[in-house]
Amino acid sequence: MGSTRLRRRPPPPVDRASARAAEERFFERLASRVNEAAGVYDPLTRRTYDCSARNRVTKVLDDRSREVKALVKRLAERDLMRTFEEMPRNGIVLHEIVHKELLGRPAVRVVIAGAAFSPVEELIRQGSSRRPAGPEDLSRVTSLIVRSDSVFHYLGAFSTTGWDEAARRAVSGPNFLAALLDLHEEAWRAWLPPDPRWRSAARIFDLASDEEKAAAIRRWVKRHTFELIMDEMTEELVAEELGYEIPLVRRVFEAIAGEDPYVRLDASARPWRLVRTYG
Amino acid sequence: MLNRIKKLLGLKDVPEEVSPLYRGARDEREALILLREARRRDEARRRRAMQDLEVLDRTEAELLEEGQQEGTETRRLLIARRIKEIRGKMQELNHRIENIYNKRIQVFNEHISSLETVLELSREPLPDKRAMEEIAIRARELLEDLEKAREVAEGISLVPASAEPDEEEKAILREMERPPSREAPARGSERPSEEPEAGEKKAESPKREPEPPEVLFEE
Repeated sequence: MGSTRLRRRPPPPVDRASARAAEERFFERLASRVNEAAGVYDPLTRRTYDCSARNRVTKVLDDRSREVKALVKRLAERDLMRTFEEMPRNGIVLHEIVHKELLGRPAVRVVIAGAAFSPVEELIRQGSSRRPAGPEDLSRVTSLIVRSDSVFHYLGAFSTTGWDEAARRAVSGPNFLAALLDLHEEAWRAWLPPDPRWRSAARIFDLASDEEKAAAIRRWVKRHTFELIMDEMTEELVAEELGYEIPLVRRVFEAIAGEDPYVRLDASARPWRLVRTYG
Repeated sequence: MLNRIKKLLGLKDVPEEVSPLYRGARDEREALILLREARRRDEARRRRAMQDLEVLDRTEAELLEEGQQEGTETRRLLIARRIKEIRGKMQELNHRIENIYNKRIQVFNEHISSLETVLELSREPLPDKRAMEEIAIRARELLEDLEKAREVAEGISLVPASAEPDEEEKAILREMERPPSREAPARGSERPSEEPEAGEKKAESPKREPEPPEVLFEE
């Protein structure tokens, strides 16, 4: 079948309240993942450090939150307080992993950071926006977080309106790696630059459970009947769209084909695909 | 052939309906169930195909709109090719609906209707044809006998066909022939049912002069 892909439809605009809610959910999930993590690898010292609560210090940077407040004061014409309450804060949270050698003072070795991104000006002026975050936004936040050359930083950068493709150019440096996160069709999506330094830290930014991912894949397949009819519902397409691993997509494909009498799994050639069948 | 199989299997009472009514159904009722299921399956397939057609139709419209707004020739050509693919798929689906599902559903409908008629009719058994015939003949014969007997009875009857009326009957007959209008008031109290008739007549001729009393007439 043909390979001409449709131009992707622009995502629906995100309003203040949903951006705020998404931001809060992001920080909750990130904190939960950090709590679950046993250790984190430091590419600078090539050691894995225990990141349990006793070796961890959590800090909140509110520089950007203050910026949001200032922008509301400057741009909002009325209901300033209400607008500010609805607004996402573009918060930054740092989980510093501290290690103490036998002799000497405890020192921060690795930082696991989370940063939220929202188009604040548009949200204040128009109430909603679909402008994705770009490389400049990411670079600015990276410079706020990465202050020391002797500490390695893992950054989970979550944008409430998704990421511009160009942002993928600004995701790694000598002492930092950033994962681009967003909510795509109600599914937590992560894009991590291929880099050997990730190791176990990659799991921290995988914010969705397997069940949630499976549900997201099912939802995606259900919403994209056109691709199914045109025999274009491949495992690669779904994996690329949702940022999930191929084996999981395959498992869900098999389950869908087993349940839906009008869908068949074509595993005769790679990539595997779901195709429409009429029985 | 079937008989030989029956013999080989040692089965004497395999019903004749084993010869397929529909997919090996053993009787009409079973065939009807199977046919209804088959029809439901085909209807669901047709519904699914029509929903898919709607999706394709919508996408085609979106692409056409996109093509109209597109400036570059290359992109327009790509969109045109995509629309061609979609139209091909739509044609395939339409063909499937028209030539497979619609026709098959029509066949199922016919067969189901016939089976339903058969089952409905066989619910109340009819009497045996020969017995019906014999009873009908017997009934006709009995009726004929009755007619003959009646004729005979008429022939030997002692009572004259029209007897002369006696005196009392003659008086009544005369009374019947008398015009009722003049005697109506006199018998008013005896026959109240005739009053409305009189009233009607009055209504017909409201300007009629009152008749003079009988005494004056005698003078």
